Amino acid sequence: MKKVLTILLCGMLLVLTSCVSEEVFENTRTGNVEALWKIIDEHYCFLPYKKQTLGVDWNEVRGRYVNYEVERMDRYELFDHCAAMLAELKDGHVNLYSAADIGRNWSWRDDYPKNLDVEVREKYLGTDYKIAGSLKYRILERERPDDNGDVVKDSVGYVVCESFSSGIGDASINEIFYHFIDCKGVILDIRGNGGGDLDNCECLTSHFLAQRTLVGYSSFKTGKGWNDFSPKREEWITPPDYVCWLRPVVVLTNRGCYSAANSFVRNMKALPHVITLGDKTGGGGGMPFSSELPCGWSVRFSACPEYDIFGRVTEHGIEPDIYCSLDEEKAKEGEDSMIETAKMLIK
Amino acid sequence: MVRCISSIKASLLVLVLFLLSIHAGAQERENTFQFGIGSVHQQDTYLSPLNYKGWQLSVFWMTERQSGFVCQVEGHFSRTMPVSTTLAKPVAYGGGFSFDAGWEHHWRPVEGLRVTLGALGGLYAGVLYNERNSNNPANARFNIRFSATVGVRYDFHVGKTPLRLDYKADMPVIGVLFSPQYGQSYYDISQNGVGGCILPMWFGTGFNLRQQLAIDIPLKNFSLRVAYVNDIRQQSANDIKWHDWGHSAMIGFVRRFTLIKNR
Repeated sequence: MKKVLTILLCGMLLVLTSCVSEEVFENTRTGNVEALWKIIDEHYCFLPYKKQTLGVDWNEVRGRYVNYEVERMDRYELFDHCAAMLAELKDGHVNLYSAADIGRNWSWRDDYPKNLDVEVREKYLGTDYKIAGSLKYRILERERPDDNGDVVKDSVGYVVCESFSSGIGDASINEIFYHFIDCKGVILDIRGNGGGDLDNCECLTSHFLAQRTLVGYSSFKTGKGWNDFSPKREEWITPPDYVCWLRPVVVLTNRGCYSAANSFVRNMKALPHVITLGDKTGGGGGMPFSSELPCGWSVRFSACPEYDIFGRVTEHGIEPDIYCSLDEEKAKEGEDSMIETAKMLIK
Repeated sequence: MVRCISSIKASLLVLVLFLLSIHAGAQERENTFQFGIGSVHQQDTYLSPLNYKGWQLSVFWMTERQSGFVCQVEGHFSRTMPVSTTLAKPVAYGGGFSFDAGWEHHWRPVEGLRVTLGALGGLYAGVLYNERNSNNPANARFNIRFSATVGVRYDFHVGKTPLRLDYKADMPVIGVLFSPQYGQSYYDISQNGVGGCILPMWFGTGFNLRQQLAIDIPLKNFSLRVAYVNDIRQQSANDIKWHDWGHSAMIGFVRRFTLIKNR
């Protein structure tokens, strides 16, 4: 009987000690702030980079935000307090979501010139532009001096890509390039594109490739430590079976290019026939993951960093090949100086 | 004359059946089908640090043969919500199935008691989806494992009614499992393969157990089975922890019959 009891007790002990479970913070004000701090501490991928570039020390942040004062806050104050803690990271992919608000730091875009006048851009598109998938496009006529100094008339294709959230599709891109078959080059205007689906970004990139091309690297966290990262993994994109555009391309960028649009610029900069023109992109070079707090608020954070072909982090944006700003005076007259510069860059 | 031919035909048929039963060996078989509902407690740190709780539906099918061969399939679907959350209630949906087959050895130490010990080989595949997440909306569960199985069956009577009490437990002992790496996205896995995601499975990566206590009540051609099932599925690998702890009440039927097969 003693043997049976011993076996049973050992069995129960085995079961009890083998429970796979992670500690959950209590749903109190302090518990929620603690939980939020810990999620970022263990999962956010740019803590060493933010410390190096912005001087943000996440351990020091804890001292300022995880304290007894939070117990006196109502839930709206608590939300603002948590959002302020996250805003220290100055990362557009770091957000706090409640039913009432979205905590954010959009300084990557708001602190810089827009370099985009949507009304002027619409004038370039006119009213008879074509729409393929989520892309708007038309042919722009131009006059330019040739090598002999004579004025020649020709055309360039103009494509506006406002977001990568909606599907694009190979068939749509094929049709666009067939439409541009007599054009000298293409202007790809992604100003204000806040990102979306990486598959759409890759799909569009692939139509500018002559061969399978290395466009950058990515990695991910392999543990809870700030520097626990996988080796950088090469990111290759393969051209599609049908239409590939190998004539000159100018990509127009501004600070509003974020996330998947930032990735698109990174990809396009790896191609020899592409020039990026405009302002530095907004960044967002970390694929975001989600988690949640005991009170039910959702938190989003950068989890997987991406790098350009030189191995540089793209979180704080990508420099254009040629800096160019929107001339506000000309914009008032209906001229987009960035589009005009791009038109002249295409030989 | 006609009556005579019919008698011969009937006799031949009985003879053939008799010979088949001798040469092919009559094979006793027991098939069980159960379905049930219960509660489940979940946590998956790849998706959320919170504990989720809700209901699950499950189905279970098993066949046992006299030779000792056993095969079982289990499927389940769950819907859970966070335990602690008061403001918002995101929903997580889970599902999976397992398939195991193997051999069991039976002992009958005393009249009416049967003790079983066996080994099973099989797999489990499942997924948990959190409707609120962005680039980590779901986490897959997959393992290929060898399990130890034990069982105790006791036949007894209450009044004149014969009843059967049946306890069975399956415990994966060794195998291989799938887990994404700590901060790895499934997008990355789709691009770069599952390197680093396939790991050995043993007690250190999570104690798993399915145990069932059932009572069989004989009816006309089958037995009605009423069962309690405790299902512990859990895993700790690549710094990602998940568990599904389920308790279900199940009802079903057990059919016992004899197959006569040609060799």
